Amino acid sequence: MNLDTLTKAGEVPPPSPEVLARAQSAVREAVGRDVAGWSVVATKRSRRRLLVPALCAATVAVVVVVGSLLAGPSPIDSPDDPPIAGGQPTQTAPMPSYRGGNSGASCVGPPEGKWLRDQQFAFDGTVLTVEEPAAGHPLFMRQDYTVVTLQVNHWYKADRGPQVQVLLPGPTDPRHSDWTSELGLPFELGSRLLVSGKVYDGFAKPLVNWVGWSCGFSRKYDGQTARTWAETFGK
Amino acid sequence: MTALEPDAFEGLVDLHSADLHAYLSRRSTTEVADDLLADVWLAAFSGRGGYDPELGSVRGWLFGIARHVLQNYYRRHKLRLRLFRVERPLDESAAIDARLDAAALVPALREALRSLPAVERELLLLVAWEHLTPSEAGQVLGIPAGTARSRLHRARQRMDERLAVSSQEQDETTTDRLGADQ
Repeated sequence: MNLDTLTKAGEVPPPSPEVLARAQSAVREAVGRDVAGWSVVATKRSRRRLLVPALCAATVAVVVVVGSLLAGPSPIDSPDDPPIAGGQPTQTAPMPSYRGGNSGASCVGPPEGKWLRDQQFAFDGTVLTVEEPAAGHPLFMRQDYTVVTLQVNHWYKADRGPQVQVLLPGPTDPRHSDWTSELGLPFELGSRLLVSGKVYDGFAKPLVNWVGWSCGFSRKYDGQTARTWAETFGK
Repeated sequence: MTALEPDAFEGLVDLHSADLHAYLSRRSTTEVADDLLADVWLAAFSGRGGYDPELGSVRGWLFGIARHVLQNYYRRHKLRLRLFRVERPLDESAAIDARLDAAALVPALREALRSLPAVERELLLLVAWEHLTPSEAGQVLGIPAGTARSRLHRARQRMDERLAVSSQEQDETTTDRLGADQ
């Protein structure tokens, strides 16, 4: 067989300059976010932490489609994934993840029971300040999070005092438009929120490392959900 | 220290993007390839620590990542991988040549390719279309270089046999038609 014949049959047009520029831009952004050697890649360990609970979550009415950067099979691993505070590999709710392009994350149903209880912190708070999106935060590659300071009205889990700073999915990011349902997190100064999430630790410099998830793990305050949370956390 | 430093990636993007895009495009559509190319690079950058130069070339490693990204895409969208794609070639003369060749040979090639075991088919396409070495093609598929070479050899033999059968059948059909015309 003449391979040239086969080769010719497979000819395709070259990518447009815009497509190449987009790839270059994505890499530049990723390089820029590669702070002090931290990696945001999901390692085998962290993929297990994220994927296994995500699969199990379907049985408890929470299904989070974790983006391919975090959960998809990949030939890649990185040894320098930031450690999780407390080193509890089993203590992981699925990490809500947004993936750009044509594929968005989806959240099906609010988290409840174990998945809510397994969050490392949970509180009812009122937004005091909202800072610029935390682009470049080493925990996230393609999702803009916002540093938000909240006055805590009630701690359900992990009392840290009257005020707390957390990273929350940016309220104005149009990519979060699929989250603006009752599970979404559009917030502003004065918004009362129920926030739960995880604490990341092990950074080389002080950093806001409390991350409130979307997909119902954090949401606008309402009395019924607050009661559910109080029952779930037992306080 | 990883073998691939972050600063190296801009150069790699310049060097390999067109080939990776072509790989994606041949196995999907141009539009899908447009969407996935940046994902491939992000996955590569994130997983640069997993690259081991002793296990193969950067090029083979990148195509392996592209393959996974594409598989994830199809898994997500539940589409079957498109095996064959013929687009308008690069210039007019090549277009004419390719049209003539494709018109006569693509159906037979397609059938012959389909008759191959999946791994052999993919090896063959990685070499013919992506111009990877047999070792690199094996790296993409996660099989040893020696195995890749022997399976590639077997694939070419099977293709030859299949194409010979197709050619013979076509000759017989033509002869029959000519006979009928007379």
